[in-house]
Amino acid sequence: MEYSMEELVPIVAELAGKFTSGDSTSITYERAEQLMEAVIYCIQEGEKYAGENAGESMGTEHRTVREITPTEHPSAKTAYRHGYQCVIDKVQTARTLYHRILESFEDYGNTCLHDTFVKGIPQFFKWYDVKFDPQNTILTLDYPVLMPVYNECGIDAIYKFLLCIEVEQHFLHTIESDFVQTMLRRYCKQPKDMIENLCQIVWQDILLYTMAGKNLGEELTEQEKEQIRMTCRTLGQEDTGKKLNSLTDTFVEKYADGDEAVKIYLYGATRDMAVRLCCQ
Amino acid sequence: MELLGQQGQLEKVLKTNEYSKKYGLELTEEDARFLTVERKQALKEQRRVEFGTGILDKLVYEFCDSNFIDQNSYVETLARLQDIFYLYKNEITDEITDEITDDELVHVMREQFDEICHGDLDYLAGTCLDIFAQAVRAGYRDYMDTDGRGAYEKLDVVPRWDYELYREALRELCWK
Repeated sequence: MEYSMEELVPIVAELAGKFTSGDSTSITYERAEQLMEAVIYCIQEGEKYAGENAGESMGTEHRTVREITPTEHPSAKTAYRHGYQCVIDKVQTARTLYHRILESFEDYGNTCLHDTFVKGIPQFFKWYDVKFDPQNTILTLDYPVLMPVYNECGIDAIYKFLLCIEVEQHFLHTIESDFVQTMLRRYCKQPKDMIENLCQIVWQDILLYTMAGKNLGEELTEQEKEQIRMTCRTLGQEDTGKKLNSLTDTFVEKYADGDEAVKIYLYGATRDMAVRLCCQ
Repeated sequence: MELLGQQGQLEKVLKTNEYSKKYGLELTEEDARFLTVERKQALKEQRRVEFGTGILDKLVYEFCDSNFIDQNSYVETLARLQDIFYLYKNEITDEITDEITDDELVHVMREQFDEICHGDLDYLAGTCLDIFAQAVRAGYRDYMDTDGRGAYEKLDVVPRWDYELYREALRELCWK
């Protein structure tokens, strides 16, 4: 839905009044831009909610807004208020999700994951400003997840990031903690300091061993690795990808209760792996 | 929307005549129009947006009883005060409150305009408010307790004409 400037400016003006607590008649361009972005962000959030029926995917426990159907054309003010409530609800849903993950969260000794999740996310909830700056992600989200969350901003980015961490933790919990750490050490001598996705490292390691038909506890020789690469090059990138995806499906069915989210998430790692195996 | 805003502003500015008349100051509709154009320009220069009817009426109510403003210089003084106001809204900032409030700034300006600058707008903009802005950026917060009143005395580092200074200047002029 598109709104004209004439409809949006009064909302920004109202917001500016609240921002200055009525103590200032004017604000800087930068502040006005920020407030305009806040209004647009909320309106878009409301549209997403209506369009995708986000209530179902986000869980219904924090829904407080009356749904606006995609066919309705509310005034900009109504759309803003509805969207603003959607953002508040999403923050609540994200907070609940965060605490749920935290109960069994493991960082496997990786500082980047620990700092981003344990130290960073609470700071986001502490400083996130739904009213005046909802588009601000605040965090740089240094831990790289396998889904694209970096093109989102505000609570959208954080919520997506948390969903990724939830899936990762679910997957990593299917493997013994010590074993995960062994695989990480096999990849890098200092897994504590690396800024890489743990799930990807572990999953690619598992796939490699499965393809070689070896036990995870054993060592994979350079010759065996080259053998796998040769097989993949012969198969081609597309077929290698398919093969890796099929292995992923089997694993998830067997060890992660067939969780569709885990499956889709791991596909992100297999795509990468197929390219690497065929091109190296 | 802009036209409606301008009309509202004109009415508000002209309404100040009811009060300022007591002090022999009055704005014509043309003056008010000139001041609204000046306001627009000042806001543009200082990269600010104003959603309400502006600061002019506040400036009139605060400054109209000053001994240093007469009808001849009234419009020019208001236009200049308006410029100075928006300039220092940007200059006087701190990390706690973000910006000085309109009332605080208007009070600081008025007090210095009368007591320190004796109506000299260049001195107000170039020296007094500059010292004040520097102090706020360095952490000075006392002005918040008094809504900007009596805030400058503590910061005033410029020597003023007292008896000793006057006698010395006179001696230099007449006897040396």
